[in-house]
Amino acid sequence: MSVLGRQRLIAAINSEDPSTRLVVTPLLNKNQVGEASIDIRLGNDFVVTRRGNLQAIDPATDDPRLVRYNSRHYANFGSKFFLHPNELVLGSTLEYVKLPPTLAGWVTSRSKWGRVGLVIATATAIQPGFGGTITLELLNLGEVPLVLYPGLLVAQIILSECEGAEPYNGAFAGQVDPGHGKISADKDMAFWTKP
Amino acid sequence: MVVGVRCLATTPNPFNTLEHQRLRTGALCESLKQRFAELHARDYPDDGAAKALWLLADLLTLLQKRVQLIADEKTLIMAGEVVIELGETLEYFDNAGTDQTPRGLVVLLQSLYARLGWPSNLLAWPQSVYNFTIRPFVENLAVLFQYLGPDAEIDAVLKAYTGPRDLVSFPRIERDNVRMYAIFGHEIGHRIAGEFLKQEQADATFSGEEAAIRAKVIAAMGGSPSIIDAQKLIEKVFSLRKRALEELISDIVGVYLFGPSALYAGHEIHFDASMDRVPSLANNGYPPGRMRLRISLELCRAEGHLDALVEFVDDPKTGKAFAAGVSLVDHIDRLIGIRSDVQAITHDPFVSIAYDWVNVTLPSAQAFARNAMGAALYPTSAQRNECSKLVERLLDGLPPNEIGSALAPVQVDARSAVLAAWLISLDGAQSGPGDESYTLFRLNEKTLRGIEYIELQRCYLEKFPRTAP
Repeated sequence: MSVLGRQRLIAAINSEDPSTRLVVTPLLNKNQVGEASIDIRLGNDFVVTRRGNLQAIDPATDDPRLVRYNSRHYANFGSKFFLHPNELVLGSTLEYVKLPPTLAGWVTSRSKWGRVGLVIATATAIQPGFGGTITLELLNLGEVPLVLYPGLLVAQIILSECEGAEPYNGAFAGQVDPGHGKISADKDMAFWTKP
Repeated sequence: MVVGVRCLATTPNPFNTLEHQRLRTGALCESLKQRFAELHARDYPDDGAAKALWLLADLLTLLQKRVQLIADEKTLIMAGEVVIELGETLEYFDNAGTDQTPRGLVVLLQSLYARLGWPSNLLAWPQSVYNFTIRPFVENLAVLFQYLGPDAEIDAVLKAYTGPRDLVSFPRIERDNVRMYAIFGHEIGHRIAGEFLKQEQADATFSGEEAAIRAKVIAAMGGSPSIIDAQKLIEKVFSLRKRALEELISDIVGVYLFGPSALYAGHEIHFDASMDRVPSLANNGYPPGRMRLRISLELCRAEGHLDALVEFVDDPKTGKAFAAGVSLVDHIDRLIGIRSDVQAITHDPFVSIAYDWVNVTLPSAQAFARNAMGAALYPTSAQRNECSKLVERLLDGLPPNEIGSALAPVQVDARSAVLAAWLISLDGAQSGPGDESYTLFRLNEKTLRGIEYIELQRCYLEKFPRTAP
């Protein structure tokens, strides 16, 4: 199992066979394909937690009013989104990504953004066969607010071969916007959370 | 009651209604300005909403100044009515935010406007009523303020305005249904229909046509009708003919702009009881749905759109979706083969005169509409070259925004993406019961996102042309 380098990435993107084709669209600039990763852009949608409405996130509860704890924001291209120190905001990639079942991926910050304190993903794995925009967990670990603009290249995907995988068909398949997952949805949740 | 009578009798001065109205109108202005200011906090698909909100605030500021100077009560009441009318725009801004208005719809309409050479600033919002409309914003504001008499300052504010010029509304229940956006081809068509009717009026031969119709109406009335009765029926015939042309030319433009998607969307609207409805002043002169579908289908056929569907029914990957699309065309063809709408019209001699006249005018109206399309026409070549590939992308779970490798993509027309979504949904509907609602939800999401990408790619590549990979 090896990480795909530039030539392998280009070959995967150019593959005409859907079972091996890697899709990252729109790939606005060919320079986004780097030595062993693909740079990806920040999308326009953000989900911010409204802490005043939120007592706690408890996987033992399945409260449909949980949506009240979130507020969605849209930032146009050219407009600013301010990420304050220690603030966690969900964003998503501008690009729609589809991995073939033969590849798995990881999302990480681009180092120039990491150095100013921006963490872009805490749950970094992309499952084989996943299709959709990738939700980014944006966190500012720096001391000063960061100004984010949709379209900026803030993250990168690293891909590696994957053997024997089943294509992902979970709750996030086909998503085009950032959003919270249902943490209470695990089938055995009651076993672990009810006395 | 004694107390009440005593109070009325002892009021020292008559109630000052002029100042009462001044206070009321001024308070309405201030209140509305505050509501507009609150709306600035919302997220909109572009900066057009903010510009429109500033315009309305500026107009209210001028109106507030003017209210202080108005010396008669009637004008003050009128000014209050103007403020209340302006207040109705709150609904637009409440719903035009990105949480309620899909950005894919906005960019689709903006791209169509740009292709037509029209200013592409517009404000779109969903409404509870099932109706798709496009209305002029600035012109309507100008008309509203005319009631208060000439005002150079207001004219100057309206002239300097650079924000949305059109207000676009659509049924909230269809908010994410990208396939029904094809109806906006018809709505855009209303402006072109208006231009046709205007130029027709200016044509020297038109007054001769009108005179001939007047004579026909009087002859159909028989005997010696009174001038008043004759005039009523003449006006009815003229009005029905005008309304028919407005709607039918708009349908024609819909097909020119969206191809088969306009036919499919029209079928969703017209397949109900309105199919054979006899046009009347009571039903706002809408032509029968069957007639509208007939004209749309015949135009699709003449433009080559139907052949371009049939060509792909044997495609191993996408043929099933195209076959579903052709199947609906065949169904509509059977519907329009029944001439019950035409028969219903011939039963009324005056409606019949109006529609005979429509039939005479329609070829030149169609030619006018096609000429007005220019670069906005949805060409059969785009349908043929793009649609099958985009259906394939959607079937592969991808947004329909490009063809080929992402490193060297071929750009596509957003209307091909809409048609691809139609074909897949029609195929889904023909494949028996299943979880279509979920599939349609994802189909709409992907297509809307695809349309956003198409416009983003076009704008980006204009500034940064792609070099060879």
